[in-house]
Amino acid sequence: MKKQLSLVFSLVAAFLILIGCNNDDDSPATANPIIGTWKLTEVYLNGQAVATSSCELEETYIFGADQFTHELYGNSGARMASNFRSSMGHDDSDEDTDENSDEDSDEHSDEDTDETPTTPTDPTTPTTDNDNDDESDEGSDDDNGGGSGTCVNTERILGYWTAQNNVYSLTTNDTTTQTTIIFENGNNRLYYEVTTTVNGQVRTRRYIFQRQ
Amino acid sequence: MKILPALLLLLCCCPLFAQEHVADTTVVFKKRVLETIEVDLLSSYYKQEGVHSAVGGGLGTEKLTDFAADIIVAVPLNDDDVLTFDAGFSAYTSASSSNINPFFTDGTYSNTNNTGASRRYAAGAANRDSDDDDDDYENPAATPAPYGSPWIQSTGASRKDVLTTLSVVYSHSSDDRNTIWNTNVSGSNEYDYQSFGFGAGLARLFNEKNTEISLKASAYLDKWKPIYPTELHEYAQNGFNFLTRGYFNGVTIYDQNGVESSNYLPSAFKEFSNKKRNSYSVSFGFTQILTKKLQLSLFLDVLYQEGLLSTPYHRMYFADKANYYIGQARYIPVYNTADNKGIFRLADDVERLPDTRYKLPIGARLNYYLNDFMVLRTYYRYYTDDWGLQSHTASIEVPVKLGGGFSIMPMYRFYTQVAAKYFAKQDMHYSFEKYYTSDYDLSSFDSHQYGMGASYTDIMQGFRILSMGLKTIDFRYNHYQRSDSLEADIFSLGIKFAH
Repeated sequence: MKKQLSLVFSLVAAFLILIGCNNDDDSPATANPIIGTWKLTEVYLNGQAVATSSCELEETYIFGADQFTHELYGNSGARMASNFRSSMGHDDSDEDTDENSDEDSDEHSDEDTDETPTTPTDPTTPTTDNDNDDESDEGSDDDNGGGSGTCVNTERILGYWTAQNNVYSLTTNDTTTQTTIIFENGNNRLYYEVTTTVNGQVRTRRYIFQRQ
Repeated sequence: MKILPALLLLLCCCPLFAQEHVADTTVVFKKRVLETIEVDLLSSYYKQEGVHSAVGGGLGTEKLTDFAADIIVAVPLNDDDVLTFDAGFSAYTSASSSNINPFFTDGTYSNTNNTGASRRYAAGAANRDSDDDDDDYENPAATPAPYGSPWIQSTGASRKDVLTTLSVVYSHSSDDRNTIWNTNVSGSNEYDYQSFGFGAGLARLFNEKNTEISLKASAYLDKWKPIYPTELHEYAQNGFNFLTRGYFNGVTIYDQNGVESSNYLPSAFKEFSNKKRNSYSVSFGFTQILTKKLQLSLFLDVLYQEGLLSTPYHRMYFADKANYYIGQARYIPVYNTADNKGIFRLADDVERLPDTRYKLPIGARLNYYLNDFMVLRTYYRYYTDDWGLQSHTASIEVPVKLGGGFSIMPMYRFYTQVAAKYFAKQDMHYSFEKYYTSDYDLSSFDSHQYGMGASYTDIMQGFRILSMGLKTIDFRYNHYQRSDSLEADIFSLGIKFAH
């Protein structure tokens, strides 16, 4: 009986050795944490939460192995947001022009949507000016998101990405921008920041996305 | 003309049968080959999941379920002759097959929130950021648009099918039971494939039945009713203007960057002219009882196939051809993953394989009776063919009698395969090649199958239905794992009744 049992065990062992042979392991290397679908959940301006409409919160990034999609949403019939981020960190690379366009767009939105006079820029009271700017920005955001009409996809961009540590390079139409992305909550949440300077005041917007 | 070798083999067997009939007259006593009518009811349930659908060009869900049932009735015609009927069906639902036509319009996706955006992108990608044209926000009437994904099951007609089979086997045993010959005919039918087969076999026992030699020849004359991937079928039907006619009329096609395009042209594709597939085989067997406890069997098969050996709906995507899609462009970056819930890539061609194939499996079985209640059944097979595919199979099963008619049968099977020379992953073949496939059944992989069976044998046949007594009942479960991520579960139930 012992001999028979040892024969059985020998054969089982032989099969186990065979199992280990010729493993066609095509499992990929550790995937970059950015791969997946990400939806905007919160926006902060200089640490203060910015009111964001449910339509704006449809903003989505879909990252594949080397390509990505960025979608922005708005209400049909509503005005287009003046400071689109057509890809992550686009604002970063255009700081100079952003300053101008930010001002322009803020003025526009103030005029058009709030119908309030433009607050004269007072270099001596930067804080107040900044606050006003913030408020008008938020107002503009609200208008875009909370306007009447159906929430529709207003912008879709497909591009390619690469990464070196936490610095992500996003390329769309031969334009490459670089953004530092921070992952949190076990890589299920990410944020990036866009810093602009308006009238000597540094404004930092933080966009927080949740993995879907 | 090609079935001539098979017919010759059948004719060669006839003199042997005639000689054996002469010998029959000398035997006085003989036991019936089959005492009574026996009925086997077999059923199985199979389900699998995988990520390398051949319909999707080696990518996409391989989710499949199959329920099969067979009834086998063996009727003793006299002491020597048995006629066996086998009728069955196999009904499957396959996500992979459904994607022969992967496109469906269920209203959840319309081209208003897609075409509008992409139209902007296509027309003025350079000034996207500054484009505040109100036209962009016009909300045209929502027109449901088609979409699909290799990762979801479409509603295509080919998502399910039923295979029906019927075979009849006639066997005759000589009076001394040392010679057994049989002949069979069979047929099967499913939506796109029909098969007709016939064959004959001869077994001869020597050395007080301690040695057996067998020879079997069979032929299958099959015919395809080819179904092609929708986009290729449309191209074949409508020619160069296919994008503005038939199915594609009004459907948006995107390139790899999500930009609308009308450049898709699967010029490599043409329908198969030969729709026949014939298979011939000759099998040699040798069985020897070596000792009281040890039995050895050797076998060698020679198989030859000719005709349409490609599967007409297996898509191909070439490395040297641009990518084009139908569906929701947002999913293009994640096309290769299950996150892709709405876009399908248009094929460049279907797989092309040689129209002949020689196969040569050779193997052995070794059964060792450990004691009165335990048997060690082992099996090994080596396989090679002229497509470059080679494989090794080894299995072990250890039936254990528990007493009271109950047995359990743990088993394990290992399989390893080296790819056929025509296999490459998606986007690894080039359009100028003559033969190509991305069917992972022809790739290199290992597989493990392990399971457990339980059977009950009722010697007294106490349980009866319509005068038929239960003889055995057998249940098996097997789990199958392949190194390319394919996994399957197989449940089978067999019940044998005797009159």
